[in-house]
Amino acid sequence: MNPVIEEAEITAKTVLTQDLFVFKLSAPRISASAKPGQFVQIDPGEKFFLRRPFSIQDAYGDEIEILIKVVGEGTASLLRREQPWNILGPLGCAFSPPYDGEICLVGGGVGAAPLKFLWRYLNDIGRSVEFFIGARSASEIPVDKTDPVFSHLKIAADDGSFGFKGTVVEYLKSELPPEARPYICACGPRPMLSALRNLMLERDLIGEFSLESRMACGMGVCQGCAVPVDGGYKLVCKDGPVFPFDEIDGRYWK
Amino acid sequence: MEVKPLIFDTIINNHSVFSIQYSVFRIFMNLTTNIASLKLKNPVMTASGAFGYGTEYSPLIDISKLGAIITKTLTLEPRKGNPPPRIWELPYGMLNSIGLANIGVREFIDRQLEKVSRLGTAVIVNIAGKEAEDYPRLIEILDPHPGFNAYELNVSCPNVKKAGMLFGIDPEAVFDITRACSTAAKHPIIVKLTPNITDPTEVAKAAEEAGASALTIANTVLGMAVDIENRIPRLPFVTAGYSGPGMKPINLAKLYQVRRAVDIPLIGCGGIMDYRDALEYIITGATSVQIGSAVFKNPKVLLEVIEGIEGYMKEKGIEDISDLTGTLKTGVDL
Repeated sequence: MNPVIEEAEITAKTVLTQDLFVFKLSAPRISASAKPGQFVQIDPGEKFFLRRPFSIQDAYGDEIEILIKVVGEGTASLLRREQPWNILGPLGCAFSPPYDGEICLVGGGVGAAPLKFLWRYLNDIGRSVEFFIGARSASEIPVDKTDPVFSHLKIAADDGSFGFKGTVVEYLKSELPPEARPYICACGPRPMLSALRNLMLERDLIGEFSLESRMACGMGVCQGCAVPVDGGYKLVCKDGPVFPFDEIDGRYWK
Repeated sequence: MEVKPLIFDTIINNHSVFSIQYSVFRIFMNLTTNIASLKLKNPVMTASGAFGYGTEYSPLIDISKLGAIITKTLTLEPRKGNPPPRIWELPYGMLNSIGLANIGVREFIDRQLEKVSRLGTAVIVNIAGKEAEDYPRLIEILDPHPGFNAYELNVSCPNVKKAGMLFGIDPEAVFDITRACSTAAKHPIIVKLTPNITDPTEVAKAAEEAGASALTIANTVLGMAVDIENRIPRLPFVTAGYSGPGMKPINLAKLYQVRRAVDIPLIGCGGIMDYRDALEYIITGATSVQIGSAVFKNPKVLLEVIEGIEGYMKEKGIEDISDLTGTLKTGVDL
């Protein structure tokens, strides 16, 4: 990990829903070293004391792509902020799927963001990969319909307004032959990951989860973003955000 | 000799002569400050807990430009720290309940100390004990190793029952711990006081009398926040340490009180967001300052504060930072 701070100009902005946006940012040094699973921290402006973490959802040329969901005043303020944006990254560790075998990506809501980068990377090197995404409804699908990945997605909507009716984990379960042993890479809300974990334990699958936490420094310094892993605590910002799913303690799922 | 750049401006018309004079002036500007035998290249340090073990920010800033780095608090045994969530952001700073999570003194010596010692700045090791006896024991373990220059005793962490504020609010406990450390250590001892006490002067005097070389004023103040929807505290241990710009008036007042009670150097800490905040502490009587959680948002703030102090001195024609320290004009006869 060799993070840098860049003053990034916005090169494109796509509105997905009223509170969900895809931003393309010119950040050549971050783009050059970013790996799928890593994130950046963006300064939301003077009124806010801490940066806000966002997964890198793609990196190519001089640009990175991030998915921003307005969840509070900080993210709302960031969207109003004048360019350039002050970006720290890339931070954290990447997904590390095995060199052979099938890979299955499972994303819930904005958790799809780092998986989109991973899908593109795996697709480029010719790996067999399936990409499941869950959303509450058709209007909340976290991927731009004009994005090349869109036609490859297996989408579940809780209310049945698009694709499979039900949760993304139910969709995965219905599509997964009993003998299949894909490597799972997942990111999403805690209840989704918890359900996925149960399925993985039941089917004897292995894989990695990308976790979220409130975060201050992003650099492994303040110890603020600890999660229970391996009987102790590990830091989402530095040891993670990606952890082997079976090392995340039961304490996390309560 | 006091050199005023304004005079150069008015009396020297030849630009090249001005430049030469100006560069001489630059060389003369002195930001160095001392803590007992330890000479710092400038008065800006990192606060414990906000800079890890010292090397983490090296990809982002030139650490050799700092006056000193202070490590995260080290304890005899590794500590896992408090259960998450551990932080809560406020409009005016943050609450933390980390619980002194750290790798322990032995792993620090084995895996970090050598790397930290090569950063090109003074290294101050911050330590805390569960029992009073742990402090001299930590010094006994650290003292034989090269690579650092001073100790800071954390007797003021609000997030652990022991090793915490209980020591820091008791002048006798502070005296005993400081005395045991200052007689055992070959390096200067800095004692980091708590602001969670109405009158910090008794504790400060106890530390000075027991052989402290300097005092850091101060640690975080006790704070809390409530989730009104669920009627639960935002952090599981209810109370936490508050840091951020709201700390400045509180710790500045503590520093002002302590300045009048002791003669050893004081290190201002709490709510410093830019060089103006740092200057408030220096003018009030701090010989140096520490910057903590402001680094999380802007890692470059440390260097910006050094440049800002330099710019202020240049503008005011102050050659030596010691000519600025404690120059507060109160207007009342003290």
